[in-house]
Amino acid sequence: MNDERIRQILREGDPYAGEPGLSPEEIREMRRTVLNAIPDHRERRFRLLPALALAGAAAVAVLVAVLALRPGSEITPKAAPPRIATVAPAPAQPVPPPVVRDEERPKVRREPRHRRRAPVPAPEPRETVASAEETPVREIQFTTPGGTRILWTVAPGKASF
Amino acid sequence: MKSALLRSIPVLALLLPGALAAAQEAENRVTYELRFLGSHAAEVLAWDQCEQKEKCKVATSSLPNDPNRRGFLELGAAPAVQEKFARALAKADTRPPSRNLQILLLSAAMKSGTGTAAAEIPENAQKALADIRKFLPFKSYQLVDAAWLTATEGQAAQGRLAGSNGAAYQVKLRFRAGDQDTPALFLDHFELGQEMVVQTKDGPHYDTRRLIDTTFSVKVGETVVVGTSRADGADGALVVLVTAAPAS
Repeated sequence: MNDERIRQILREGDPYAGEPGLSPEEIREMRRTVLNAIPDHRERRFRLLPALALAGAAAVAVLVAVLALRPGSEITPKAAPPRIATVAPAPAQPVPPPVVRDEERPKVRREPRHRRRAPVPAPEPRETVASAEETPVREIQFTTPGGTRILWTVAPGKASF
Repeated sequence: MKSALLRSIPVLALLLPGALAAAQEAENRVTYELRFLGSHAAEVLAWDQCEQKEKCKVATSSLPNDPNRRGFLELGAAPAVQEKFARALAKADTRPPSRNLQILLLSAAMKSGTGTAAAEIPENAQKALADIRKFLPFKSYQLVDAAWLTATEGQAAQGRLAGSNGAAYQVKLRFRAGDQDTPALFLDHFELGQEMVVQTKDGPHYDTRRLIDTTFSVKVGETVVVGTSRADGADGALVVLVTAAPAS
């Protein structure tokens, strides 16, 4: 039995072979019925979204308020570092051994004479901080309305030229 | 003996081309004297003339203490390349340009002076003086000293200016010339210092206090004002008018 024969038998046995079928209106009605029967999970999910967002915002606001009102948590702007000028460190000078008077001399067992006392280490050269009033040399360049260019150096100090 | 000679012929035949090439190379090596051109610039010039780089050899030597020449360049190349390089070097190895700069040292004060400086100041700097009179707060300007400096490109030039009350000032400068499109001088070093005498145990010690240390460009014929004043206290200032004179 070939395919053509099977197709013919099926067509002969079809009870609605002569019927015209559903009208467009009936098709649309059936489609509406089927679509309305499907439960819409997506819609339910989006319905909860505003409520969730509101709850999150409220939680953040409460957290910020708690942190801000906690004692010792005042928000203060960072102070600018003080303007200091540094000067070159002074050369390390050998430090003379400290003079100790007899009454202040601690009672310690004397070392044998041939053992030399450990040398007093010279202090580490420290950076000396000068006063903050030191003004650095500044150079300003500008052009006059007449077109003459001026380069001006503002030097620190009070000495005249 | 005869067989030994016969055996050495192939060896000699192998070595001969190398020996000939070495001899030819030695013949094509020429040493050039560099009078003004730096060794690096000369080397670049030599490579530029050599189209087949693998056939050229360039070596330079500098003479930093020789006042008459900068050094030597040895070029090993074909005669045609040697000729090209000799011509290019003759064109490039020329004396760097020199420029004349007029230096006018003025003292400026907040108080009105008795005399007017305008009469003493050369005409070419009058406009610059008039401009700064309108712009700067000083009321009087007095010409302290003037000098003309002839400077060669890339080399330091310095002059001495006499100040009032026995003071003396030093001006040091160095410039680089612009190309033909921008005929300006770029002063990559300009320094004004005040000469000082410091009394020490060993006797008077001469020192210079640097007052101005800057860089700027100046067009030929233009006057640039370079000045200095103290941040507080002093009411005076020193003003230097620098004018680049046209090349003669």
